[in-house]
Amino acid sequence: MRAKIDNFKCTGCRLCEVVCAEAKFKESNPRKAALRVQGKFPAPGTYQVKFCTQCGMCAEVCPEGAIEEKDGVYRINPDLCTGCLACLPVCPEEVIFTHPDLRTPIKCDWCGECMVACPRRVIRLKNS
Amino acid sequence: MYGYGGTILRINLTTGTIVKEPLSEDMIRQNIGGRGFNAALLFSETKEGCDPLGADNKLIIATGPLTGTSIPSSGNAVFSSISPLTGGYGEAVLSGHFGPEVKYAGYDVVLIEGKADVPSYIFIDDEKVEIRDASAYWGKGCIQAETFLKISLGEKFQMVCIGPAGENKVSFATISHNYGVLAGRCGLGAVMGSKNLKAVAVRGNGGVKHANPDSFIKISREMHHDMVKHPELKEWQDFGTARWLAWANEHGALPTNNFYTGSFEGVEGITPEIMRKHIVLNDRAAFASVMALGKYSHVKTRDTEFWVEGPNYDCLVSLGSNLGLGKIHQVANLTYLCEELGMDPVSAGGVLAFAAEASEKKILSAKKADGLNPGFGKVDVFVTLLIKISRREGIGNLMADGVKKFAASLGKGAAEFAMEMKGLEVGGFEARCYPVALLAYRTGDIGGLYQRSHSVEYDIEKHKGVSEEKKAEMVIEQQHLRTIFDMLGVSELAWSELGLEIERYVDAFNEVTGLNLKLDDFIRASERVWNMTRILWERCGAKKLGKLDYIPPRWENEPIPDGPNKGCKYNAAEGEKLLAAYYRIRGWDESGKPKDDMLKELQLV
Repeated sequence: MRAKIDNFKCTGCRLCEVVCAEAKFKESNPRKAALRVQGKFPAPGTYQVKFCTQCGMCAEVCPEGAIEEKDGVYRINPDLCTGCLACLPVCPEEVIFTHPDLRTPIKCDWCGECMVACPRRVIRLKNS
Repeated sequence: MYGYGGTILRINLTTGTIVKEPLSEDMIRQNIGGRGFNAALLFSETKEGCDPLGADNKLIIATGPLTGTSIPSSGNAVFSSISPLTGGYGEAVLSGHFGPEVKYAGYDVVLIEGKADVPSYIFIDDEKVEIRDASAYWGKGCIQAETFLKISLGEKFQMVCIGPAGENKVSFATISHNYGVLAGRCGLGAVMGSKNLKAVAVRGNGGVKHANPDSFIKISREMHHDMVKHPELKEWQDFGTARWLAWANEHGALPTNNFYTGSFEGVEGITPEIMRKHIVLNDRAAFASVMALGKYSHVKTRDTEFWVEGPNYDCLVSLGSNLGLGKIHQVANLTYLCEELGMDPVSAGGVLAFAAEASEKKILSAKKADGLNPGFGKVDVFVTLLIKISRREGIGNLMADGVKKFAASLGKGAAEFAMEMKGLEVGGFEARCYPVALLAYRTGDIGGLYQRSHSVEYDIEKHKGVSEEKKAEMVIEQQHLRTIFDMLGVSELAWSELGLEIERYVDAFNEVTGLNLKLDDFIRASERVWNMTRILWERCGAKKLGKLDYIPPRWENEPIPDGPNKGCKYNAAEGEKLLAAYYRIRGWDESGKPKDDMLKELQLV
């Protein structure tokens, strides 16, 4: 599987961010989402969705082996994660996030909540 | 406190004091949020003889309990103050992403009072709140100022700012957010300007916590699911509110040449299809909005290049058909200028249309108009005038006071074609033949605004065989129901246009807050809003409230000269019966004043 992002369809509503946080943390809080929508305004007037590709680079650098792969998806094991944040700077998409409320970083696990919610189907998973 | 930030942030720009007041449960139960909070705070804190541009006037920004959640279009914040344009209750609703950020920072209300010594902006980063120097941004246009502020503070900050028009206290100056999204009406940008306040920038890490998250999320997902399935959604997404244009023209309801008539010959050049084909770059949505009504456009010609939000329906009317402009680039150009200079496109367009007619009728001389000869279709003159208005320069200084005062200063019968109600320039739809829409316009609590109740579609499609009493009742019902959305902090369009039931919003409120309010409780809160704002007008100098509810003389006296409604004119007997019924049902006396027992019942005395 691979993620396909049609940025040109994105309207910047950030519903993906808020449903992500609601699904994971039972709270409407885009700062706790595992993806981001970035607008480039006033020019060129476009949006870009920053989304995890499950490339696994975070797992490679994790000193605790806390990022585990299963069926092509990398998840953070909170029992092993020490919050050292070594994974943050290596993420090529810049989609590992921290939040003052949380001890461990926030990372996408392709749960699909954003894909279902997005009215434009900007984010999709396709067979590679 | 679930659903709310739990704090009213009070900032006094004169003394520099910043106070965080707890939000009481009583305040929530009585007023819900958003527009309800604003009306209640202004009602309790505004003294007799208000000076809209004085330090005592307050600018209040409120979010609602659903603002910043996943409920469709939950990006709204309501801005209220005493309006420098009308002298009475002024309000503008801002969509976009500012409201959610205020909420995430932990505030339900930001109340700004006093006046800063030097140009300033308010910086809010969760608990940290500061009044900062804004000298570097003063004088800059809205889009430029926002660009620079974001470079300085970072993209995570959401902000509102004013442009030169606000700084120069143009009576219909607007507040801008996200490069062209406006809290447009009533001149609240001038209130910011009078306080030396250039911008408010906010970032919040907190979120909205739900009392019953699982059931709240279920309701929210179902609402989105039903919207996505709606057969009309695609057209809304493609054209936004501009999709009303052809319909309005076909029914003779498209304001044309300062509301002289209701259909526009040049409409083909400004249709949403033409717009989409030639200038629209991207659809742009407010927070969690499925409908994505915003159209972000790019115009490049030999002489100029700009990016502009819209034009939406209101701009296509007020800066297009009503100015006799039939080319989309022209409308986009004027829209861009309003957004950058910081002026309400509806009022600015109203003043331009009035000037065009006054000039053509020789009531406004070329000498008085700085050698310009405004006229319908003259886009270059309109461009020059908009810049002059924003600077209050020459004729622009007179125009900057709005149509009502401008017409009074010209005299010579100019008021006969001054299209304003309660001092607010009329936009939207031609309504003289449409009694229910006209009643909604004339009883609007901020002035002639079509969004407050039934618009012309009701008269066109459903009115036959309905009594006056029933019609007045329906206008009031709509005024109350629509207020609920402004109290909750969400857009009403998913309800009014795509048919999402209002009960689902009530359920969402109860699940997010843990309270157990009924629809009737919300309607009662709406009724309080309508009575509080009515009293505010009286407190601000309206001696006879009923005199506020006038109809522009053009609508009252002139039949429609051509088009599908040719010869149709205002029916005065019917209009007055409707107004009398409206007062009676509202519990107001014959002069339009709320009766004491009604105020007592609503706990307003």
